[in-house]
Amino acid sequence: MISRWIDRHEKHIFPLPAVIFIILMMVFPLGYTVWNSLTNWTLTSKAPTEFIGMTNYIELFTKDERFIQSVWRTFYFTGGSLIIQVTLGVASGILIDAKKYPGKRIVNSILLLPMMATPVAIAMVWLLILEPTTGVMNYLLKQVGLPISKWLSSTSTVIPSLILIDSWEWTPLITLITLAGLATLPTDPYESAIVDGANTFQTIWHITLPMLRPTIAIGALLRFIDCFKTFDIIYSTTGGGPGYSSETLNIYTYQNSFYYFKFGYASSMLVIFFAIVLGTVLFVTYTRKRLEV
Amino acid sequence: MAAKKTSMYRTQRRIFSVLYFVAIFILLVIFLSPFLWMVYCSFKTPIELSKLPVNWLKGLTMDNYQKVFVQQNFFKFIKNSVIVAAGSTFFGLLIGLPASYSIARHGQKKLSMLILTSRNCLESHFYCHSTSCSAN
Repeated sequence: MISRWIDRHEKHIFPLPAVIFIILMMVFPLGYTVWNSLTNWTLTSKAPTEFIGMTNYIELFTKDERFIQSVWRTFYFTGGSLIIQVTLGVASGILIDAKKYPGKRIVNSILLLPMMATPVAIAMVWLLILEPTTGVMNYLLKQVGLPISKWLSSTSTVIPSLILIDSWEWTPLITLITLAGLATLPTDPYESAIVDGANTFQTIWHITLPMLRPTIAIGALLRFIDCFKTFDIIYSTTGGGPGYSSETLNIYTYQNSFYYFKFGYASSMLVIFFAIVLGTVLFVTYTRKRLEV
Repeated sequence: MAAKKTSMYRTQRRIFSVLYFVAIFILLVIFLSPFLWMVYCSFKTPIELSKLPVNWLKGLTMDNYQKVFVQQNFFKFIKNSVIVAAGSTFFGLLIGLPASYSIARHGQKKLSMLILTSRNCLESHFYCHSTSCSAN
């Protein structure tokens, strides 16, 4: 009797726990954050927590130079990482897929290693490698005769260095997604390309890349969201420094909540953060649908 | 004439294949070397670590490992990580498997979109929420 009822309503019962979980874990914290963002809740002040309306937001956009800087920096970091990771990831995916040879599986799993390592460990290694005076990177550059850099210790090179670390860690994800996409491509366009006498580069440019476009778009979107939220690498290498020069939105929010204990203020930053990510995701999903249908 | 052409084609293919493996090798070096460097550094004494050029055989030691496991009680951290990983996998599967079955079986596209987007939004809010919890 009960099992028959379950059979009939399987469609609604099975996803129910997941839906309840998501609603509890998303709607409540989100609502609570939005509410907090409208108050002046600060742990270090004796003043009672009060509802102050949009004051936090107004302060963020009109007075807080550090916030606006951190927004641009976040876009700089995200844009740089995305361009490098998508280009290199797709290129290496196509490269790996192009040929079969013994030991290929081992090579592939080695290439995917960075993605599986702990971000904090990765940050430590790169900190060692990129250390300006005792690091190997500068030593190697000097040996080859290339100009050395201050990497993470200079305000002008810190973001590019972080982009380098992030790209090292996450390019393999794009490679993996590209490989998965390549495996699903039909073979007949390639056969006709051979018959038509297209060379390798023409085949890649006119057949592989256009057919891969949806796959690349999904990979780029995933990376965009994660790059935008990057915290672990930045925090464990520079902690936002030198000065404030690598302080992204996420780091600045963290500083505000855990160092200055301004929970209301930090919440309003999170709401803006959330709005940017959600806005971009919706925009990309919408334009993708319009372009492809 | 034809024979010449095929032999040219063959050399061309050979060059391509050499270039291909050079490219794969470069990729391997890029992605593997920081790992190897990390492993190598783990066997070095702190003083020897900052000396350049690298003296490959000098200052090798197992002290770091001894410190990690004896003084730092690393087994406890490993245990904690295993508990967190196993627990979250278990509950993730418990909640996620029925939902994914249902999505695949009945083609509930909207539901899958909801779950995907929430996964992306969740993280940053989790940490704000945990902030609030720890503050209380």
